Amino acid sequence: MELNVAHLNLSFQGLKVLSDVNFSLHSGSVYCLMGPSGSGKTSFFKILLGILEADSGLIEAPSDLKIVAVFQEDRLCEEFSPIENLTMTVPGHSKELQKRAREVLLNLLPRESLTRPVSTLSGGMKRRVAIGRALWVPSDVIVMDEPFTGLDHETKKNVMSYIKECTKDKLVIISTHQSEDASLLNGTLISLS
Amino acid sequence: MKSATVRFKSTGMILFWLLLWQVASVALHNNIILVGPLEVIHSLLFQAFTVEFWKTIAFSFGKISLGFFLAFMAGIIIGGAAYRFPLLEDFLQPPVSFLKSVPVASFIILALIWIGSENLSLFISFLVVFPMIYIHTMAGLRSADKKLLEMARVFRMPPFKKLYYIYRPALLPHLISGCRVALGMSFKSGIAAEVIGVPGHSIGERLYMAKIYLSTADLFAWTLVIVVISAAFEALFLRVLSLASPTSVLVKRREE
Repeated sequence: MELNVAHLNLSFQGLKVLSDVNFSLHSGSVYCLMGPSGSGKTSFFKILLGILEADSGLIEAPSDLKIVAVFQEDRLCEEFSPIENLTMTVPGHSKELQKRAREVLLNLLPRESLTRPVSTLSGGMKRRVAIGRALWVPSDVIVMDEPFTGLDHETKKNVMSYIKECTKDKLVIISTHQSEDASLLNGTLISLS
Repeated sequence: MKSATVRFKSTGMILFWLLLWQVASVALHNNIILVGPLEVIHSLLFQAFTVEFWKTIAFSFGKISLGFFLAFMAGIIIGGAAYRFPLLEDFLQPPVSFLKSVPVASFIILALIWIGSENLSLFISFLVVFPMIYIHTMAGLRSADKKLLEMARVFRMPPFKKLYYIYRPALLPHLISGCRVALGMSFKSGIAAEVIGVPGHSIGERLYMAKIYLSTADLFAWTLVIVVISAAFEALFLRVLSLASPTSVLVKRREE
């Protein structure tokens, strides 16, 4: 699967956010989108997710493509547990579903935190729930907007290794401020400036 | 310890006002203008041992609470539909504004001509409660977190789960605050309708009779009955409604 971005332009109130952006992305790869704050990383993701419309240009991709995301904010249902935050994104209520969600989350969080309401978890733990949710849902493309914010170095390395393990055949696009993230993820750097 | 002090203080306040009421009635010495709490309790106890008393309560409570339930259900369903289809909201805006602003007494007289007195309190309770629940449902659904809704769209969350996990927590606080007002209003307007329509075996009929026979003790006794059943219904209904809130689930989990 290939995703082509061609001549993408976007401005907000006369301010150019994305200017003639062009690149091609392939499934089975990790791409790290880099650029200073305001360089349009989040806006690009929003266009990709269908939340925002570009002024001009196009993104060519198969029509049945399923894209999921780790948003810049966690966007979790705070009153519910991490397990419920995963299972709520897919149809069904079976025990099997809960078991699978638990298995995914155990790779990212301590066991005792899985049934507590998300509102009682730390910022780093919430971030990992959001990452777990994106990895758990069947998808073709995963977009991650600064997913490692609030994670210490050791946790970040563990999370990265789990992301690599889960996304071997998927297209992963990650926005980050740190170039070392690209090398840790064996990813390709794309600069947005 | 602190709650015991608060309870003691509020009991003391109630006793003070009851005492003042009794003193005022003794000083006035006129059972038509003001009766004391002892006469009211006597009148209440005298009637409480008759079957008619309980039949009267069952009639009025049944009609008013049924009107409330029907309006509650209709308010949520139609409010939900109007949130989903803005054209329906525009279509319903004039009648809802009309229901909100027209005095209840005008409705009661009109409804009395239309449907007679038997189901008058049910109809009036419905008319008073429906716009409140409708408006609070719309406000609750509109308060749902836009970013969570965006997330739900991206993840293609099943509609029922979106309703349960995103809309329900947003809706319930609005619905509870709407019900707090609507519950009291349904009883006030329902009884007022009964006083005007005077259906047989209703609390309104008893109040009307108390007026005819200048029986102030009966008037006070039935007023007390209305206050008690209205407060009990309100407490019970809000308790049931709060059980549907995710916060109560949270409390239960913490207790575990």
